[in-house]
Amino acid sequence: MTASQDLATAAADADPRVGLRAVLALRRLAERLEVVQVRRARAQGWSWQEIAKALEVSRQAVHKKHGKG
Amino acid sequence: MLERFTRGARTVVTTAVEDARRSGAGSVRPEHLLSAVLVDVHSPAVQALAGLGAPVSELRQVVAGLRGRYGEGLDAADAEALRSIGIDLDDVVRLIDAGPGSRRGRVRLSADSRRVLELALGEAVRLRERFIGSEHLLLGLVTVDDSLVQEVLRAFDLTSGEVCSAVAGAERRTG
Repeated sequence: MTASQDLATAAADADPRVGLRAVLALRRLAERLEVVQVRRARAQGWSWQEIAKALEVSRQAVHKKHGKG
Repeated sequence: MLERFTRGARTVVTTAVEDARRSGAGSVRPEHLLSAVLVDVHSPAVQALAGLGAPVSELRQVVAGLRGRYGEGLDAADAEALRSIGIDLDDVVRLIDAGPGSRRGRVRLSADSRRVLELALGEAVRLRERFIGSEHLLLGLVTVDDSLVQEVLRAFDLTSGEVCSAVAGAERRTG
């Protein structure tokens, strides 16, 4: 089964708890991936503007979220 | 509130902050506090857990396993949920787990961790203790709703209530 079919299965699950829990886990995974990749990009000399463009958010948003420290 | 912390409890908090910073965590979460509580083998917290059949060496192993396995911010329940939509979290973690991890600057306590400190204060007051020790932090940790802490308790077949009774019992004997 492909990932998109799995997604469709979870989305169509009779019990919304299963689907919603998957949404929560995906959000956490996305957060985690973002932290890792933004850090990697900064370490390789990317500007906040370049990172913002890649994530399709404003420079202010990405700097506010990841810029401290 | 920190001025009412024992030296042991302060060490727990600073160790947790340092641990979170080193591991690149976005905030100091209860799992960092729990790991820090397990550092001092002579602390009342560790003694109480040992008395309940959860020796510190095994506890550390379980905590490290749960923490290290899925990286920061993701636990076994997340892994299971992601499996339901065809994502193997172990695979993903393997892919992203390269590169430098540590971040500079201050790492703040998460809302849950702040709650742990408040609960620890409440427990100390309730037990008529003047100071907040690492055992009260442990009470806060098992009382706050944190999935990793609860999973550690389950691994040793313990409930929050049992840990609370054991700590309270030890306090009555010593003080």
